Amino acid sequence: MARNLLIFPAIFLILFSGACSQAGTYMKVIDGNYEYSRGDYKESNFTYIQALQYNRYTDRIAYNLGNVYHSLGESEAALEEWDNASFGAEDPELLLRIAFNRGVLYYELGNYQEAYTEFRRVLTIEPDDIEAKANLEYCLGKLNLSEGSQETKNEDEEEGERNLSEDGKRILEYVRRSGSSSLAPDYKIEEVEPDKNW
Amino acid sequence: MRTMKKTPFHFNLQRLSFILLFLAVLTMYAAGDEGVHIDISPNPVGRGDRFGITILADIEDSEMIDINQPDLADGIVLLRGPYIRPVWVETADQGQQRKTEISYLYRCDETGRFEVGSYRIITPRRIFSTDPQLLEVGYYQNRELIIPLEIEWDIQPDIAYVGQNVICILNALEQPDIRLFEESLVESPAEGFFQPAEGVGEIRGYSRGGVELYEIPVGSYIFTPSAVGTSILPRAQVRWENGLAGSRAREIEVRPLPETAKQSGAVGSFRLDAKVDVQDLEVGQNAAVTVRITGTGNLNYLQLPEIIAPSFSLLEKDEESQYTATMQGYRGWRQYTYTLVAESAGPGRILVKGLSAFDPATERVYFSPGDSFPVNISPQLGGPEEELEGSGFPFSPVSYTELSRVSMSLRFSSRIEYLWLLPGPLVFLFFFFSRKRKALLSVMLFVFLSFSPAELATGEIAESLKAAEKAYREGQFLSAESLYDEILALEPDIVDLYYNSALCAYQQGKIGQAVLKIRSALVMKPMDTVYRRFLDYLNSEYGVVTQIDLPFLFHPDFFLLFLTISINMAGFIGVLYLFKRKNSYFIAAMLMFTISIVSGIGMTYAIFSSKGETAVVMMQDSGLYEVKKIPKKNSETDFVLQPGETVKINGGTEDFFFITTSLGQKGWIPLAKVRKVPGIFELSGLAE
Repeated sequence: MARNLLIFPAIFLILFSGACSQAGTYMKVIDGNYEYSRGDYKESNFTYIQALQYNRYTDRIAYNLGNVYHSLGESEAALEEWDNASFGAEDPELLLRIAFNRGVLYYELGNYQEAYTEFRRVLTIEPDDIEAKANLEYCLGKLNLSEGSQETKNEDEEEGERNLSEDGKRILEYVRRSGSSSLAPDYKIEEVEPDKNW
Repeated sequence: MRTMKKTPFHFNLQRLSFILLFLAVLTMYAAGDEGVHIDISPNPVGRGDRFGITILADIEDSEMIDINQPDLADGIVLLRGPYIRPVWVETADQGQQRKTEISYLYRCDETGRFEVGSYRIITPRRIFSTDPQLLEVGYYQNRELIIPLEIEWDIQPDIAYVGQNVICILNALEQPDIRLFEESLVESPAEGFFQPAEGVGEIRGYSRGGVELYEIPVGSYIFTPSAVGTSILPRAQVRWENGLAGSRAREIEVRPLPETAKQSGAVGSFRLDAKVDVQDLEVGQNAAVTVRITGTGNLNYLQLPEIIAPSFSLLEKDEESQYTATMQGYRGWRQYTYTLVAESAGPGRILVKGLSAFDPATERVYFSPGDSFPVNISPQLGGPEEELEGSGFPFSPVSYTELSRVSMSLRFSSRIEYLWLLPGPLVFLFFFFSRKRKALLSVMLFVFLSFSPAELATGEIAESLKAAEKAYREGQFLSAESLYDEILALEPDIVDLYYNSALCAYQQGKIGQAVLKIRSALVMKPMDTVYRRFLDYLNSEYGVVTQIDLPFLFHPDFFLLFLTISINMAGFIGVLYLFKRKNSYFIAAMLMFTISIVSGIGMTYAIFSSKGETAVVMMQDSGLYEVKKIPKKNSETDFVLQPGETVKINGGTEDFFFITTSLGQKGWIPLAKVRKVPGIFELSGLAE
């Protein structure tokens, strides 16, 4: 009986300490998301960094940090954080968001090849993602534009571009077949939105 | 990384044929002047009068044509047309040729010069295009048709910042000839500075409807707005041979400058240079300091940075400038020459503060660093050495004799001090349980004797203090500061030493050190008015904000004293109540007990309100202190801080603090750039 009296408080203490850490992380992330939604990116950045100190859900927090850095115009840091978030992550939803946002960032930077790869990765995870499909079409459009200037490139590059173009065409056909034909022609590439924060 | 390699361009016959074919087709479609003729009649025409446009085209079959009209100006109204009919026209060889005539009837309700674009006549075999035409619409004055003069303000930019140079050019539009206008009537806007800018603006020629027209600047001005809001550039008038022509008024939106650039008001691209003509001089001799700003922008409006020269007094200040108006604002330089008189002997320093300016092109504030010039002032030959107090600096170190009055001011951090809380309650408890009235006298006597005055600082450090004072008097501020710091390491609870050391740091131009030390002193003696005045002085002299998050006005020892008195009084009055049983004793005892509780709460608050969350930017004399957007070394700089500025630390990472400035700006600053103002716990730890 006396032993039970000692064991129960001990178990309670362990659970309670774990719950505190979990609740602390949640609270910080909620705070950070709220600040992000208000456009207070610097405060949000600080809150996410505080949330990282609990060592819980570090991949999701790193993803949010990447979003904040992107909003602050720090592309390099954003990519670094998204790399950290995707390292060892298995959650398909998280991987999808990371790939999508990377795609948007690469597109903004004019790196259409990388953007194309990222949107394709999104569609591998979630084939019905309309936004990703639309963005992929934009990337393909940009890549096809650059295809016109192939004459000035060397043979190796020409071969790469041709392969990419063929590959791209197949994906484009796939997108059209899968019901995204209702997309308006002036559909803009999607931005990283606050509600895409974890 | 993939690189692009250039390969030679190969011509072949097939490609050449394609290009020739393309050019042929292009020529056929572009040919507008062959086979078609257009006529506007009458031209010029009076406002509200009718005019016709007649097109004669080499088309035999007038029934198989389609016509595309150009988009005409808003004031032109189509009354009738197109009326298409075949006509016979005599050819050069006395023969006749069948052609097609297309006619329109219009009316124009506005005056001015309008371009009538190309009419496209489409037949199954060919497309004809007419040449664009210029239509002039005027009004009648004394039976003479006059095309009115159109004038307009050209403003660059129309959204400006306070203090920015806005270029305002009054242009005469669509003039068929280059000419001069003798008189223009221009009023200044209600707020701001409005100055003529000769040489700004140029005559611009362009073609409209096949006629060469010119845009001629009548007058050029530079407007420097001084208030936020909407500034109205009033209507201007120009006198010409047919009377007065007026422009419309224009609005200019004026935005506020970022806080960091408000002090200088500088908008543009500038460089700050400073120089001092001497390095070694005697007391009474002059030194000339030249501060010059060179660049393009609002040189007429910006405020030049101040200079700080504690060992000198200002004799005179001359201003010179040489700048001319350009389309980007004023270009050239503006400078102040300060003539200073050396007043106190010893090593000194002349500090020229940096310039924070706003670049409207990038919409960012940048910092042009100032400069610091060491000078060595020797005593006047044959004259007595002057005292430092005469230099105009209103602060002087606390002397050794006054220091001896300074008591330990961290009593709250010593456990022994809390024993003073016990006598009153213990006496009360003793009599409450024993009720021995006879013991009252002996117990009270014991308690009285147990009080003994606290030990004050002894004279162990006297020699060092005297030496420090002497060094300060002789202007050897560096050695005086070192001595005070050495004594502080041994006696960290003598608060005035922080103040003395801060004065030494200030005299050497080390503003960051001075702010840090005086704030440390304020943590220990928050009610000291001299310390607060010195902080205010730094604030006003350097234009840096040092007052952020000042310590709580009352020191914990203040509350500890009240707590000690009130709890003991409560105990002793309680004893009296036990023997006399008077209600007034009971009330007084309860009152004292309540005061003791309030004092206890106050003391706790005072201790925890100073947790060392404030920091002073940098420890060097001058430089650029960049605050980053995110805690990464290679991230963008968001804004810059000045030496001595105080910031609030919200938290941080391994390498950066997340700070808030007094203006509410947030950012990340490297740990090495700031020093935390020690909290009361850290200072009490030093004292122990």
